Amino acid sequence: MKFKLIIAWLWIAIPLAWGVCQSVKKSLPLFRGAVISKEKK
Amino acid sequence: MSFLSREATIAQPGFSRWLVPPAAVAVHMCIGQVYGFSVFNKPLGAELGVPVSSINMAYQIALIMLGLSAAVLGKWVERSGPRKAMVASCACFCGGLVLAALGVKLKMLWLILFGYGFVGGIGMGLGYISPVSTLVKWFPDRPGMATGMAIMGFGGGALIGSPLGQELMKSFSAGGYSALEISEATIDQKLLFLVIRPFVAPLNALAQGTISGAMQTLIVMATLYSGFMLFGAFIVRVPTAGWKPAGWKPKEHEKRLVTTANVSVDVAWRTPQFWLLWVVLCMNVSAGIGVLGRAADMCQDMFGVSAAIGAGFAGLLSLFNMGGRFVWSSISDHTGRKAIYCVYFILGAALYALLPWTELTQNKPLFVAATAIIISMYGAGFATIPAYLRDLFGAHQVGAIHGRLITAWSVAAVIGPGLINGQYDRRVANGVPKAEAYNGTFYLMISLLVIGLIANLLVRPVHARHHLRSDLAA
Repeated sequence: MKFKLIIAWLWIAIPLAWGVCQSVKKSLPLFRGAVISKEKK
Repeated sequence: MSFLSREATIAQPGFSRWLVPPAAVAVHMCIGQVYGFSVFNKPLGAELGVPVSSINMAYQIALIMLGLSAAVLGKWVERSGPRKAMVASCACFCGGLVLAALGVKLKMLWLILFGYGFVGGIGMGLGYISPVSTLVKWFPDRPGMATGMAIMGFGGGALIGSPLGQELMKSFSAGGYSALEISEATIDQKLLFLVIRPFVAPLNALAQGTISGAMQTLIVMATLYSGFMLFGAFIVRVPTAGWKPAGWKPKEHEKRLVTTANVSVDVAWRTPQFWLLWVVLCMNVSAGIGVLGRAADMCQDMFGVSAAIGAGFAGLLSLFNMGGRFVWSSISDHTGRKAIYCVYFILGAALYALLPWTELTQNKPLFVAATAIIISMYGAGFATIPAYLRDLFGAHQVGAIHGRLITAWSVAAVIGPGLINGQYDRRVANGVPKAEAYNGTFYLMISLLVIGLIANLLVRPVHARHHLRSDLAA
């Protein structure tokens, strides 16, 4: 049962983690923007 | 007894209930692709030579069908069990993607709308409600956490569907990836490219005459998603009648709003409690759409940032939309459902009231933090509602009752953006500067949240005359 549980959770965790990574990557300019604007000040 | 029947899914001794959430998430993260449909708007618009708004109608039809099919087929889902419902959902959703692909090939807009919107939308409705009742029965001690996890998968589906669609279309489109782009690609892009490389030539041959790569993308997505959805259908199980988690005893003095009785779906939707929750969900969704639908533009107009930063802001909100579903819904197991919805509405209204001030003082971090919390509560509104229904109407037909309630989402998703955009456009047309034009939208959102709060405060326990006899609920 433990093996089944690991497989089942990995089966959904990998694509979800990929999706989260894509969104984090997409949102990075927001934080870079904040850093740039602070540097300008 | 067929493999798909409810009887075939009854769990054997030793089955771990923790296998059920991945089954639910597997289905929800596929149908959640609907939120990422907008990536097809421009390529398909160009391919078929029609306005983008015509393509986007597929998304709107899908959301309408999601609500309608969940409402109409909820009783069938309860009767047939989660496995049959998940397989039917997979057939409709993935079949809809294939029909839409055929529509691209034949350049028939109506077939795309019918395939993705109508057939696919039915699949989404079936898939959305199929695991709810099962999860609530497996996790009577933590229903908010369990349904929150599944519905978080729906939010996650948007995070996957959108970049996956873009990457696939780029791989299959007439230009494809250049050698330089492949060499500079990230590991995940290279991996995806390697996996689909054997299918590029045959699928491109099949899609001869099309240029956008959308047809091939829809076929690959249908194949991938069917794998995940059937996996969910394969591992899902229902508990035996009267099953309880080891060591867990229902509280003798449950909270006033948590019933130990059951109400059938046909009776539940005639009670004031059902319609009060309908208003609660509708207002919560409409208020969230106010920010989510225009996030990138809003950030640019209010703070003069670049389009890339605006898109980054939208990306951050989608993460909070997903995370909020699990976090807030899990918290509701401790606070109670009525209290947590009061938090969503009161805190949401307070944060909306703060937004004009953040624009006035150009306080970007506070704006980002406030909107992120607002969106986390928007997602949480979806995730907490099944547990609220279970508290009021019992677990017996909670999936079917939930199905009827999510018509509120369809209404909000179709009417909400029009209401909000119309209000903004009128203010801009009246000469209000763009940065300040959003203030009216925020005040409109506050009024929607106040309506939701009043509806929530009016919720009382369901009268005992509506309860099912215990022998009928078994």
